[in-house]
Amino acid sequence: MSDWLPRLNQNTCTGCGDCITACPTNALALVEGKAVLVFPDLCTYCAICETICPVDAIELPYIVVRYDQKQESIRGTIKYEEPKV
Amino acid sequence: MLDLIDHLRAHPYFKECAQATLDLLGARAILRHFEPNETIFQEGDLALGMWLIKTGSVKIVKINPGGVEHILHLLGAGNTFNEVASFDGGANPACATALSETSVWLIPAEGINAALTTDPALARRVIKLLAGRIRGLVHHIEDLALYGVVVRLARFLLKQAEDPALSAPGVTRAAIAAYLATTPETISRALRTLEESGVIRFDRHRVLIVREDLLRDLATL
Repeated sequence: MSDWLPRLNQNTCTGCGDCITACPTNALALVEGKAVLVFPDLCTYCAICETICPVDAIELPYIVVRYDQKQESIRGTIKYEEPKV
Repeated sequence: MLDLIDHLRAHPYFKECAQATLDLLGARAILRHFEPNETIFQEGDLALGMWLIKTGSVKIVKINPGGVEHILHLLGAGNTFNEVASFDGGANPACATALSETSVWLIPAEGINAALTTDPALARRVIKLLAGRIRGLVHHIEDLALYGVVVRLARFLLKQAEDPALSAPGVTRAAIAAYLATTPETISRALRTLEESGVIRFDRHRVLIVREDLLRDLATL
């Protein structure tokens, strides 16, 4: 499981459930009236929850890095394709 | 104390300072810890001195009466902030808030001023770096006043990639929006535009700059 997960602000969350309905992997659930990431290992970091939250209670942190083709092929996480531009 | 001296030595202000100057600053510095979203200081309060980030990240923000914030700077480990107020003895010109668990040294203003008095070379470096800070603000105003969101975002991404400490331990769309004076939705659209053009790519929590040449073109740099 990644250390990088959505941050849910329990103080701001109104418990509307929009993020829970929208989450494509059912990683979120309502616990005591607040949205909670109950299955963090299911989270794909798609950011739908962040986009849909009406009170901005969910945030996804990112880091910005230069793409290193050599390193990425070692990591094997993504494959490089020539962009169509 | 040794840890602080090492950090001071790594900072452009202090790297050529005599050991005695560093000892003087180190003896007066206070290490403070802050939780994510905890306020380090408020705008308008009397400045206590200059701050040097040991670990974590900090945002410097102006907040309007309606609570809308505009981020002036995103800072990471090794960066200093609030120099202006510690040099002119005035109030804090903006708020500082921890973005993550953050440890910061407060170097009291009187310690810095004593070091500036005894070390003219330090004073020259401070002037040079403050001039650089003013240039940075002029560029920021230029970005906001003259360029669209995609150009501003392209410049922001390049800056983050050049200094990874700025986006550690993670920058959110809301923070980017507050820095570029727009909304998170607009940032999402602009990121999508860059992604669809093959300029960037998302790999979970990483925004990968795939075509830096195109991003530089977009940034008009």
